[in-house]
This record gives sequence, C-alpha cells and structure tokens, in this order.
Amino acid sequence: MGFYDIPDSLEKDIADYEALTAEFTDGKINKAKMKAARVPMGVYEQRKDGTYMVRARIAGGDISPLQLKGLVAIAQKYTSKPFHLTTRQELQFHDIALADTHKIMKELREIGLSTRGGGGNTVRNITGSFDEGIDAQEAFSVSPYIRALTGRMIAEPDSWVLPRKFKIAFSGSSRDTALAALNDLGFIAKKNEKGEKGFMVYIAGGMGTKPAIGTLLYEFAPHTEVYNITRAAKQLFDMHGNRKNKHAARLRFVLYRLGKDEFIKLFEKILAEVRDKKHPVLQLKGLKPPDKGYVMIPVFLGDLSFEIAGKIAGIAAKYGEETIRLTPGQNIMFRNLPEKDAHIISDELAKTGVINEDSAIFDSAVVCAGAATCRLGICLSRGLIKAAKEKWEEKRSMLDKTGDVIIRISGCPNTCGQHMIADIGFYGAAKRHEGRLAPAYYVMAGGVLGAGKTKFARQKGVIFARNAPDFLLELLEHAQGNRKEGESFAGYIEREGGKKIDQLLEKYNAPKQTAAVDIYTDWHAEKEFSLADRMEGECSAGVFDLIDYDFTAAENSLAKGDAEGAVAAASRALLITKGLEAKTGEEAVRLFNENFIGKHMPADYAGVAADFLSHAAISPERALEFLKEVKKLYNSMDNSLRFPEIAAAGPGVGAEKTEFRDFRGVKCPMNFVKTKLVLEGMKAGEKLEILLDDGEPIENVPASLKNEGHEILNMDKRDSFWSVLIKKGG
Amino acid sequence: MSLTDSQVERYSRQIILKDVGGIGQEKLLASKVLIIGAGGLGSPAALYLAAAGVGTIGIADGDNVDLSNLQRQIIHFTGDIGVSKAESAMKKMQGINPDVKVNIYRERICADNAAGIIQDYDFIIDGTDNFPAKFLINDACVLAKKPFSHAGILRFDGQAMTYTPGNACYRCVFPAIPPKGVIPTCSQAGILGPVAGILGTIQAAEALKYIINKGSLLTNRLLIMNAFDMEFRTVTFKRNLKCPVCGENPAITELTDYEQPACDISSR
Repeated sequence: MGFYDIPDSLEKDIADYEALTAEFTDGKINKAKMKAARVPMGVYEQRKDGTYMVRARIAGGDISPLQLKGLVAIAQKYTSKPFHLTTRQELQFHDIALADTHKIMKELREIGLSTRGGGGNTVRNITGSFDEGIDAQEAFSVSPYIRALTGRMIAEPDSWVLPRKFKIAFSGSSRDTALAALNDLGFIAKKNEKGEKGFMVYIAGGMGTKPAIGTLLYEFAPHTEVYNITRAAKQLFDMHGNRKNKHAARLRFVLYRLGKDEFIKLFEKILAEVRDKKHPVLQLKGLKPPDKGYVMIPVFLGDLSFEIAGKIAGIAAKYGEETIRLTPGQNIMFRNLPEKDAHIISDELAKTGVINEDSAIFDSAVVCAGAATCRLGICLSRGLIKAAKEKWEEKRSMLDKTGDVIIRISGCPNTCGQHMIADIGFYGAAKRHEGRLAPAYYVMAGGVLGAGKTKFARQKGVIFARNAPDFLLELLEHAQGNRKEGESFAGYIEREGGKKIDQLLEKYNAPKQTAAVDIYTDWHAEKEFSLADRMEGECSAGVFDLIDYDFTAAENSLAKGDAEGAVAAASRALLITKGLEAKTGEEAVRLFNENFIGKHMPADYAGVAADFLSHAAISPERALEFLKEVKKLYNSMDNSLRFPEIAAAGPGVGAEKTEFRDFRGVKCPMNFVKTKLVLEGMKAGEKLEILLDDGEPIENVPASLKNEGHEILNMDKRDSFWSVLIKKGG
Repeated sequence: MSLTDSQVERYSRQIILKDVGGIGQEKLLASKVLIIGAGGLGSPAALYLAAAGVGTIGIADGDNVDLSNLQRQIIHFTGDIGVSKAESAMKKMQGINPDVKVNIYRERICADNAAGIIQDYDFIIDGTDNFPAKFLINDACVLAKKPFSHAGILRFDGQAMTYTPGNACYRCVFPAIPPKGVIPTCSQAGILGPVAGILGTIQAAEALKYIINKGSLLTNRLLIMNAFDMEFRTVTFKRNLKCPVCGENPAITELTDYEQPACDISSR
C-alpha cells in the first residue's frame, strides 16, 4: 500500500533486530552492540535513558491518507507523545520503550513503511521539494524517481554499511527547494534543447562540519542515468570515505582530500564500471499530474498531534491517495486538490485552529529536536522558538512583511535545523562566562537557495541563549519596517540588515546575571546548563569549539605572561571528553591530573600539576610545554573521544605512522581479507591498527595474520570490540 | 590496487590464500587465457577460469552443441542444442562472472588462424579431441613462445602436461601423430564424463598457477591418471634436443595442417 517498494529482506531484518533487543534486555549483549544494531534501523535513544525514538522513512514525504491513519493507530498504542516531522520529510515516534520498537517496525511494514536507514551510516530518506507537482517552473515531476530510487536503495545491502550517512534529494526546478545542492547527491530536473528529460547533478554538498555547496557534476544527465549515478556515488563513498573519524567522513571530505578534478575522475571511472554492469533503469510508476490546489498546514516545531493528524487523514481521504506530503519545512502540505476547493478547506482548517496566519513565521520555523531529547544537543532549540513566540504574543507586533522569512534553529553545530541556509538562523553552543558555561547561539543570516545560486548564511556573532528571543524580535521588527518592496531577505541583510544585526549583537551581548534572567539556564530548561551529562562517547562539533576555546584562552594567558592561567585552561580543555566539568582552575588541574596524567600523558607532567596545586611558581616555558603536550594529546583523540593509553603504546610508537582501519561489523572472513589487502599495500615493518568485533573475528583474524608471517604487537579490548596492532612481515 | 568491494567479496576465498592475495587477484583480472575447444575439457576449465576472475577468456570452437555432448560438456545445457558451442560457453561464463570479458572464435583451429588467435593470450588451454589439433597447438605455442596446457582423455584414462618456453614440449614426448585407428577417438571408445572434468580442472589450475607465478607446474612431467582404479602418477621426462619443433635444429618452422596418417594395420 506504500509509495515505495519494501524489500523482502526487511522482515528478517526486523526479526534479527527483535532478537538483539531480547538479548540486550537479558544482559547478553552490551549497549554499544545494541546501539550499532538499532541506529541503522532508525531507533535512537533519547536523552532520557531507556526512552527511544523511532523514525519512519517516507520517500519524498508522501504518504497516503490511509497510511497516516495507520500511523496514528500505531502511535496511540505505544506513546502519548505527538509525532515529530523532520526536515528530511520523515515522521518520528517519541518516548517509545525499547521492547516496543520492533512491534512498531512490524506494524509500519504492514502499511508499507520501513524504518531501515532512518539513522546511522546509511542511505537516508530521499527527499523532494514541498512544491513538487505545482511549481510552475518545474521541468517534470520527480516523485516517481524518488520512489523508485528509494525502492532500489533500500533493497541493496551496501546501503547500510557506509562510512557515514548518505543523503539524496530531488528538486523539480532550478529553485532547488529540496536543497539538492546541499545533499551528498542532488538531482535537479531539467529538459535539454530537444525536450528530453534529465537532471542537473550536484555531488558532495552538505551542511554540518566544514559545509560545502555541492559540486556540479553534470549540467545535464539523461534521466535514465539516475540509478547508475547514484550507484557510482555510493560506491565511491563506500570505497573512499573516512571510516576513522566520523566528523570528517561525509562524501564532501573525500572531495576535499582528493581535490575536485581527481574526485570527478574517480567518479567517472566508477560510473563507467557501473554502466558496464548494465543495471536495469529505474522502473518509474507514472503519476497523473496533480491538481494545483493545495493548503499548507504549518506544524509548530514539527510536532503533530494525533488529533490533527487524524483530522487531516480523514479530510484527505476524500480527495484521493496522493494528497498528503510532509515537507522539508516540517509542515504538512495538503495537496493535489481541485483548485476551487483549496480555499474552502483552508478556511475550515483556520476555523478549527489548525492554521494560524498571524504566527506563521514562528509556526513554520525549522527547528531540530534539540538537547531536550537529542543526545548531541547543546541548547534547547525548541525552547528558543517557543520563547520567541511567547514574547511575540505579548506584543503582537505586525510582522506581515516577514511572512516569507524562514527562521532555522539547530541545538548544536550539526545542521538538523538547517541554520546554514536560514534567512535568520541560530545554532547552539556553549560560552564561558566568568568561568562557568552558559547556553549560547551563533547567529547566522542571509542564506540563498537555487541551482547555481546557493549561498550559505553568514555567521554574524554569538549571543547568550537568554537574549536570543529579544534579539530576534527586534531584528524582525526592523525588517518589517525597513525591507523594501520585493526585496529578498538576503538582499535586505546585505543592504542594511547585516549592520543592524551587528548593532543588536552588541546591544544584547553584555549579559547581566539578574534574578529575572538567569543566563546559565536555557529556555524552558529544568536545571542549570551543563554539558556533563551529554557525553557518552557521542559528540558533536560543539565540543570541539569548546576545546578550541580553552586552548585559545591558554595561549592568551601565556601571551600575557600568566603561566598559571595557561596551565589551568590547558587542563580544562580535554575534561569535557570524559564528561567532567570544573568550576575553578584548581579543580580543572586536579581533575586533569587524576584522569589524564600518567594515563594518557607522560607522568613527568604530574610535576606541573603538583606545583600548580601547591601554588609554586611555574615558568612560562614549562607552561608552554605543558600546553603543547595537551594539544598533542588532543590530536591523538579518536572519534569516540578516546585517547591512546601510554602503557599500550610501547617504545618508539607514535614517531612513525600507523595505518588504521575499522573492520567492526565486517564478518569473517571478509575482515581478514580486507586486512590482508591493506597489508599488501604496505612495506615490511610498517604498522597497521585494525578494529575487530569480539567473538569470531578476534578469535580468527590475528591467528590468520600470524600464519601469513605478520606480527601481532598488541591486542587491546575496548568495550565490545578489539584494537589489534599488526606489524607487517617481510 | 583497484579491487572493488564486490570484487573483494567475490574473490575473498582465493584472496585469503597466502599465494594469491590481492596482488594475485589483480594479476588474474589482468590476464588473458585462450581455451581451444569448448568440449569435455574446455567446459570445466572455462567455468573455473571465469569464476576465478581471469579478466579475458578466449574460447574457440567451430562446432554446435549436440545432444551427445551433454553427458560431459557441462558448460552446455539442453536448451543450447544447435547453438554455437563458443557462444553457449560465453553465455555461461558471463553469467557466473560479469567481470570477465569473453572473446569467441566460432572456428576450428587450423594452420591459418592458430598463430593469429593465440598471439593475444598469456596462456593457452588445449581442450581439443584430436591429434592433428593437439600437434598444431603445440607447434603454434612453441613457435610463438606461448605456454600451454595439454590434456588428453579416453575411456577412464587421462593425461596432462604443461609447456612453458624452454621446457619440454608435447612433441618431445610424442614426436609424431599416431596413425589413424591406432588410438581410437572418444566417439569410438567412449569417455567417462568426470574424467574430462578432472583433466579440464587440472588444466584450469595450471593456468591460474602460471598467471600468479606460484607453485610447480606440470612442466617436464606427464600426469597420468586412471579413474577405473583411481590412480594418479607422474612420469618425468626431459626436453628432447632433437625435437622436430623445439629441438636445436627444428624441422618444423611454420604451421601446416596435419592429416592423421592412415593406419596400415592390414599390412602387419
């Protein structure tokens, strides 16, 4: 009954997942192993231990009224929390018990939906434009491609074991409302001079760390090439993506590493191989052109109540199968309606309070889940937009000239809230104020969308979270008064809004701790801001910002001749990786000494810590050396925020380069085969570190390597897996 | 190194072998092997070489598939009857492994075409069923300095040897074509299917070993097997310096089509 084909393998995948959850509940497998299995099945643990989110994949955001009805029925059985709509046009269930997650998967399967690839290092939900089918500039309808490609992708086993997530989007016109240029792979429909269908193809775009606008791969690729191009991009990513550091793993990092020319050459080579295999082209199911009538239903914060969902499903059922689309703006588009009926339905929805024109700018803001439920979150992004809406409700200032402005908020530097392309955007960070951490946001402005025109918003500065709503309202009021007729918001920012933002940042950036405004507590937070409980080997780039901040502080102290201050700041920098937080310099040095020195850093440095704590003098040279050593340690940190242990390192290691491969999740004997292939490319005496799963892999692979004449220098158990250090034999 | 992930997986069981590895696999993928005859010997050889990822395989056969072939020529199926053997074999090889490029020669090997066909290949497998062809292949390979694997089969018996330049050739052991009728053909005397399978498979193994340059080939040795009593033995021999084709003063310097001389049994 779904719009995309569910592969037969899903049934077994769910059964395997169910068996694992049972083993996990019985304590037979650990958390890490469970996590590795559940995330690719679209199940994330929420910030509160033991509660889970389940994400259903909805190709292009299209669901039928019957499916929506089914979703409501399923959700009501397992949770009281509303649905959450995502910017990738998915639908999430929240507050689910782990024991119920597989039940939801089974029931979703029955209504033609899958959760597989909802998370993890997989091919994620394929997205499309909200206005697909009605955009006057559209070359042709892309829905059939999204659906057919989804069916193909989710049936291919290699879609689930990529180096990192892999995102694909389709836009129907050069307005690029699906952000094709900001996905790993993006297709923008166009017709050539002969009127043939095809796509402009962008590759290796993305927001997040080191963002990039996609590289234009083809000005025009025939539409029959969609599968081959996708297959080739996926293969290229699989072979060349960085599996060691997940913060430098997305496809764009391969492009950074190889350079554009080399990357494209490699792509073409793989594409030629793919073409040789003569894969069948996508089987498109023709859709009849939709009626142009539609009603946009803003869903505040993407939170969709069962009641409203049920209502929409009920009305939509009267108008046919193809009538509901979850949009990338986290709203619902009620579509494919006879044009004459659209405004009647719209009025009716307004009467029942489903649509509220006045607060549309807040209701249609794009906001990620934030630190309330997301373990990566730093700030409560949803709290910020709620606070801004509340402030606006007190004043009710006219904002009708900003109706088209899209506010986008992310709770951390990951771009789930798409702040990179916002008219006005925010992303969460932490800022130190008088030695304590306070929630803060970086302010972004002036993003532009469109094929060949896409431009990231510019980072304007940082503001304490507590001051952000006032800042936002004052900026919107200024725009209301000063934006010219027909001027784009980016144009306004360019002309004078940017300067206004600078002024406002200055105005709001002198925090005064008062009884009314507690800058150390985030909006709608239950307790004082802290990052201590969010670390669990998980991490977002926000942590790196903080570490860098401390290193900069240490350098500044040294420049001022304050050696003690430098030692304190350097000591503080890495504490966060272990979930430790120090309120004073002394506490920082003490914690660092206990947790790092002698363990990850040579014991010689204990003297510096001891002198600091006993208030003995520290020379600037010693402080500088100390700082350098901490930085060196930081550079050796792995993607799980772990540091090499001194004891395991042994003499001489560190000076020479050790190759690294992560073969976790690779079964016997492929793990051995892959290790062998890496060793073949190395010289005798060089070292290779590999990660292997516990059980069969660790029992077999090292023995096989010894048989081939290689030396096993070290085997080190970490959680559920092993690190094995190999020296290549002669 | 450019093995794709699916190649690594496909060939994993031979990459695991210490003597193959990724390097050996790359050599196989870059190699070219010609199989002359898509019959009892050529069938298993072709299937194994395709499966192993020999990058280019030539297959030469001028016949069409006949119902009587199917008892031992396992690359051909009932539905292939009447189809060119070379084409039928190509279809099966590509079905096993799309990595493999297959060249087909729908012709019988003869003096005019032999040198031209073999020149593009690194190793040749003689899977023919008659003496004129076997002698022609030997001479062509010796003259072109191409290594090849010989095999012959009859009833329950089989034999195989491998020639590489500088070592003994087939003519060093068997200087001339035996007269007609002295040695019966398979169609006269019969052949047990697995015997063809065993020998053809041995030929495939020789080809693979030659390409990866590991192990000992059947050079200067003749492997003789009998499936009736299931015995294998090897007989060693030396290069014959008086060999008419590879000897020091060779009489044969160009290829000619051989006729099997008529047997003169009546006069004995």
